[in-house]
Amino acid sequence: MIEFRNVNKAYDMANGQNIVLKNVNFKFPERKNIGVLGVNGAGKSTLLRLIAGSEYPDSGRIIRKGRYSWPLGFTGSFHPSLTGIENLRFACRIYNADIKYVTEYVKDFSEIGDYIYEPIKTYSSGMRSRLAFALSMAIDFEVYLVDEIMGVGDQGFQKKCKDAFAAKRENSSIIMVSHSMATIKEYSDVAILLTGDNLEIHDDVEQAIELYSAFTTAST
Amino acid sequence: MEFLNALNVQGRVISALTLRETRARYGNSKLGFFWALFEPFAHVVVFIGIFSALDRATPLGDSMGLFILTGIIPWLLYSNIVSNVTTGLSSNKALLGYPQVMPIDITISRVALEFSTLFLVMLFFLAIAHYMGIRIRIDSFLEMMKPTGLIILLGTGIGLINAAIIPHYPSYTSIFNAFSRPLYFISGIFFTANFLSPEVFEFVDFNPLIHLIEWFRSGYYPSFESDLYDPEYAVFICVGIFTLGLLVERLSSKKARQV
Repeated sequence: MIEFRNVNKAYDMANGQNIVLKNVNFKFPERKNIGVLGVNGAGKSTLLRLIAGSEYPDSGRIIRKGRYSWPLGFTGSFHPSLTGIENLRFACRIYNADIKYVTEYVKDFSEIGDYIYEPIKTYSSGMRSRLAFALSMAIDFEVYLVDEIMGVGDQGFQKKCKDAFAAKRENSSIIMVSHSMATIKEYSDVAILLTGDNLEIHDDVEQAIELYSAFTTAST
Repeated sequence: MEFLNALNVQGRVISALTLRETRARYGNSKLGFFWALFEPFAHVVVFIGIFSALDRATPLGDSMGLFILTGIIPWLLYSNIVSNVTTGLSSNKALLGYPQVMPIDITISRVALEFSTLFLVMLFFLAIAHYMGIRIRIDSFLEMMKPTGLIILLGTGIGLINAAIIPHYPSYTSIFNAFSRPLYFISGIFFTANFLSPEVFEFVDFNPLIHLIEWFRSGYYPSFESDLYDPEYAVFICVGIFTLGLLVERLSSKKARQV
């Protein structure tokens, strides 16, 4: 369950403020896979970070019940000077997950081989996201927050991600941000449109994508 | 129930962070813990050298080494906590992406590691002194721990204030260092306050560290009761600066999470 109450969020920019959310009251639909649409800079990633609790709103409250993942993306929450395995252990400890099981699972799933013993800063962005993805699959979450991560790796790896998510469907759902309309269509049951300072929910994903496309062409 | 759960999560986070800090400092290089021993050792050796060259006897007790040790350990506790808390957030920023990791947890874990390290270092040197035939007699463990606790509050408070200022004024780092380095010479590490004339003492009296180190030594030495240190002043300054540090941390921690 996640609910925004009177949430405000803005960024200070060189010339003025970039408003992401203004007095938003919003209840996210439960147990549905949600795709988030919005033009560049509308604050899609910020929205995910607010949902995760990695970032706080300027004012208002965010009420969250259940196990939410950290936002899975290219940057991730990994500490650059620690090795993959050290980062993994850290995550296991704070999420109370079994280190041995998670290590085995991640080694098998991520396909990064011996790089797991190297500092994260030596990783390519693809390896980083594969590690993040594998780790989040090994630690059970009710809601996965996914930031542009589905296009990671080769086709074989993508298929593995898809299968892993399919297996999780039973108990987990996704809230995802992607530039790829195909990915949004494939994974989402409903779409949320970031309109510049508010959130709009659309039960019909196709229709939301059309609206979004009109919006982007209009603004360019 | 919710409160207990939150406490449980924070406990897990702090222990995971402490493990990470320990590994970062001592895990990867074999020199790590050796350095923790070497630093106080070097101070002790230098001062033994100076004092014997001047042909001076130890101001307290019968071992020069122990006298310097009881001054240098509280000093290092203070200055290491300041520098570790100051840089704590900026070197762990990535981990704040995990929602349950709070900036204050990073501070707590760094302070805990610093305290345990110096506690072990102190024990180690006391054991060495014992084997060398130097008589170890601690007057009151509790009276040593009271100033220790206050030093932790003082160092943490200053570190938190520094951490809040530096992002806005990067040059503040060198100003702070320039002002805090002389403290080493007026904190009573290699002398006791009654060795100073009243006029000079009045001049260094503002420095809470000289009060805290005097207090620490009064706790250690059965024969030493300094009447120059002012516990009330020390408590007032330490608690005050710590509270200010927490306040500043509260105000700036929202910003700390933005990437």
